[in-house]
Amino acid sequence: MDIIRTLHLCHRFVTKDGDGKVISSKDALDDVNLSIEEGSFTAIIGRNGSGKSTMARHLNALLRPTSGTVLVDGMDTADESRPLAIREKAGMVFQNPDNQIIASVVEEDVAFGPENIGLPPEEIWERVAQSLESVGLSSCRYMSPERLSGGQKQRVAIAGIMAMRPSCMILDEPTAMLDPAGRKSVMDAVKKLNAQEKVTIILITHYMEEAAMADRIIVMDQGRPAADGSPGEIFSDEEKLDRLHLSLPPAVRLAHELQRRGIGLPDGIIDADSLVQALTGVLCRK
Amino acid sequence: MNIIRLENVSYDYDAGLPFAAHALKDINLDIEEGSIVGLIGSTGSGKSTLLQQMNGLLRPTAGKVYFRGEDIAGRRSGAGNICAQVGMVFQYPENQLFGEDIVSDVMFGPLNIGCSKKEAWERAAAALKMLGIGEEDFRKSPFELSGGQRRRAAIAGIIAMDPQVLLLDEPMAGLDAQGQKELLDTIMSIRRKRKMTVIWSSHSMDDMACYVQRLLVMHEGRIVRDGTPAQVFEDADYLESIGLGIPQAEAIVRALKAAGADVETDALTIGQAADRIEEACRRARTQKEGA
Repeated sequence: MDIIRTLHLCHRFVTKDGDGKVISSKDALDDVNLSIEEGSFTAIIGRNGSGKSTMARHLNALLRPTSGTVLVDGMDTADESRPLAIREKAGMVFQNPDNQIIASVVEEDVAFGPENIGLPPEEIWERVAQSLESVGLSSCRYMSPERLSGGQKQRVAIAGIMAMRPSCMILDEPTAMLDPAGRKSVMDAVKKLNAQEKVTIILITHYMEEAAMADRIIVMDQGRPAADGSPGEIFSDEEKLDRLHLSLPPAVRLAHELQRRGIGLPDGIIDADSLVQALTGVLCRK
Repeated sequence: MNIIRLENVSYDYDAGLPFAAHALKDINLDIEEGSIVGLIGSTGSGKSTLLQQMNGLLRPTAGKVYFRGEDIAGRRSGAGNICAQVGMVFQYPENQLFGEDIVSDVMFGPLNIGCSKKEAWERAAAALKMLGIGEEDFRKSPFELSGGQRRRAAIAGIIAMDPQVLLLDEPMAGLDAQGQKELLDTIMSIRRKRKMTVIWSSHSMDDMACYVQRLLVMHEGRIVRDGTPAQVFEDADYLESIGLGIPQAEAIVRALKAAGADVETDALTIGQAADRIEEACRRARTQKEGA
């Protein structure tokens, strides 16, 4: 089943001068038709300005279409009465960990969402405990967010979304400001939510090795999907990625380089693990 | 010759208060003129605080900071002069663009240090062109540019001051692959042209492996490693224990070795990893033929 569908979605940003006269306009999204399957893990990649973030903001009703329709679990995001119901279904995690934390104790921050929808206290605390557990932060429950690392803060933000029991989570470059360990902890948490809690994941990222973890990659360019397929399919066309201002993940670049040098490797190498596995076959044959 | 020297520098945020945080602890560091130095460390390790000591934005709680032999920490005023010679590009510098158009934003710095309007314009135009922003965009509002262009315009604002040292705090964060590569290549070419010293903090181990001559590792306010990228990345276990990692090329050859392959593990770049793996394949083939 599709959890998200866009039909002829267009978004135009219009700049007006002081008198309300239109001075420029830009089509950030141009006739986008996409379906996201429930429980899937989709990565959206694309150069700066390709429409990725605009797209993400449509998926939880932060923006409304200029024309066309976005359906989140059957609900139309243009329906003025629905934004809160939609955001309960589809939660969003942003880039900067420091902008998303509002409380002075971790558990209160995670409780903010469930409190807002008027749940009884026992239910709130149960959800807080479960959400923190699911991102591996139970031990930080009573700490001040200020004392946490960037990766931990992002996981608190994710726990805050999880406490709303969403069926879908949209992450807009959640690791862009993190160090390597922070990036890994966030990506591990995201993979786990997808695999164990069956949350649909939509990940916007510039890191190709993160996109490689998804089941499906959508490449945006000039407001439209320019490529759509499994990581193996997307990474096989280096020239196209280059045209779209993107690069291959390092492991895939190395695999292609080795193939050029005549070392026989199977197709479909998408990350370091699959490359190492293929090469051990070549190098360690007894 | 040393252009920047830090002697026993410590820095506490909220010094003297009960919740004082020790951001830097007894740092001793010499930066050689014309060198390119990388700075890695987990979030909160003190990288940004260290960079801000180097151009007088923060004054050490203890210790001395020298620029060309002059103690910049000791003087009470005139930090502006140092800011012009030691330029600082903050994280997400495009958030600091405030001019009505690009060129007036870039002219702000030169005008502030007493350049005439004509000279400020010339400096701004030269800096913008170096960063790949053409004259047709000079009069545009920062909001009309793409993210990558805005970042480059903001950096042009620093380059227009003609600094001798450029401090960059995670300059690549949030740019797409091509934007990153273009910006890196531009900074490297400006560095060569102007013989600038560059100190650059980053979370990308891959960039550090490819571009810097010397790599400093920070952890809990101290410099815990200082060497060439090859030397620093040799101790992968230690780096991982402090929240860092090693370049992906290196990680792959090490994983191969761990899986039992006979492969050398000194590979910082994709090209070097390909060389090592090719050699290993050749060895494996000879061995098989010999058997």
